[in-house]
Amino acid sequence: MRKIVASEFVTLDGVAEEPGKWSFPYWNEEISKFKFDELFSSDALLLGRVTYQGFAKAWPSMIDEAGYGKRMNSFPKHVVSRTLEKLDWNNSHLIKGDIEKEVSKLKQQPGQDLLIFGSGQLVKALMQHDLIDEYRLLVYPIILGNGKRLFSDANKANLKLVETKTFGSGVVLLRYQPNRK
Amino acid sequence: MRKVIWLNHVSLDGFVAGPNGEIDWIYLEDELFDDGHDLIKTGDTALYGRVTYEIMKSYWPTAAKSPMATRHDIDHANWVNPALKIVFSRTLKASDWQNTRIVRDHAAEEVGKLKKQPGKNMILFASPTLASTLMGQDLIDEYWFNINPIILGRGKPLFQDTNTVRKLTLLGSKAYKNGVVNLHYGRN
Repeated sequence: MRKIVASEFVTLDGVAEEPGKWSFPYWNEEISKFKFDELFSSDALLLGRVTYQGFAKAWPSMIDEAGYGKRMNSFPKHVVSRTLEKLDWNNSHLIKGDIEKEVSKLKQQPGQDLLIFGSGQLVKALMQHDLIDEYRLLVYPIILGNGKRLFSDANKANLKLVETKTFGSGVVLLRYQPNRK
Repeated sequence: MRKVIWLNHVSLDGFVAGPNGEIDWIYLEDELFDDGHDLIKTGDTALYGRVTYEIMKSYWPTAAKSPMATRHDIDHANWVNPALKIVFSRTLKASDWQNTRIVRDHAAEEVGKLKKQPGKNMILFASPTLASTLMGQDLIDEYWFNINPIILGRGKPLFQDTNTVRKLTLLGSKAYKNGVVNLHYGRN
């Protein structure tokens, strides 16, 4: 079965909102390689409406030599939303009905990992059904003071630490899987 | 100048205690205690808000005397009981825990003054409300967070909302066998 991986940028105070505004100064080769490897071991995105709409505006014009943008644009994008009608970004598919059922179906299809970026509401909804198989948090050495916290009002969950990695710019990767007993 | 070091056990979603003050989810192990104790030993003064102070006071004065006392209980008791303990509270009148000083007002000014006095570091234990006041005046020099592999969902937040952005420098990180990750930050 494919894994659902929630890969997130968070500040030290747990804010995941608009990482474009605070994560760039810490970007370096190592983080770039991590994100690249991650994208190339996945073959689809799973997104909530807010993140999808931001991505759909930004990504179609992003072209880079390494092929990251090309892969983002060609990936199937599964979008969970009750209100969206029309999806403009290439290869987007709407999930409107029963999230648990629809996402479970996706997991059972053959393929590589399904990646979630951002999409805080969706992450919490999937946590309620224990559908997330891995959390990858890049913790940035900055306290924002306010903003939407990634896990605010999430379901309680015991996790297993799988890996940590420190990047030169002070960012720390924390990788967890659910502690399913 | 002596530093203020803020030390905390925290859930992955940033809580220092559950909604009713629960701290039974905190993962502990020998190495974690040893590293924490090495840090604490750089200090000679403990800083607390009232809530944390009262939790500590209910345990540490007698902890080393219990037949159940661990080496870590004894280590910390030997440090904290004689150390100067400063508790910031408007309601606490007096305390019978040895070497306690109660400061009623102007926490930030008081800590600012203490930092200029000679002495070893000052260790701020948990106390998120006090920490927020001190952070507001940029009085915290280092952050020592033990990130626990658990999402609580609700509870007492480590960081209160503020309008101040603070960039830090990562001084170290370490993963423990029980899944706790220590993140150690200093000023930028």
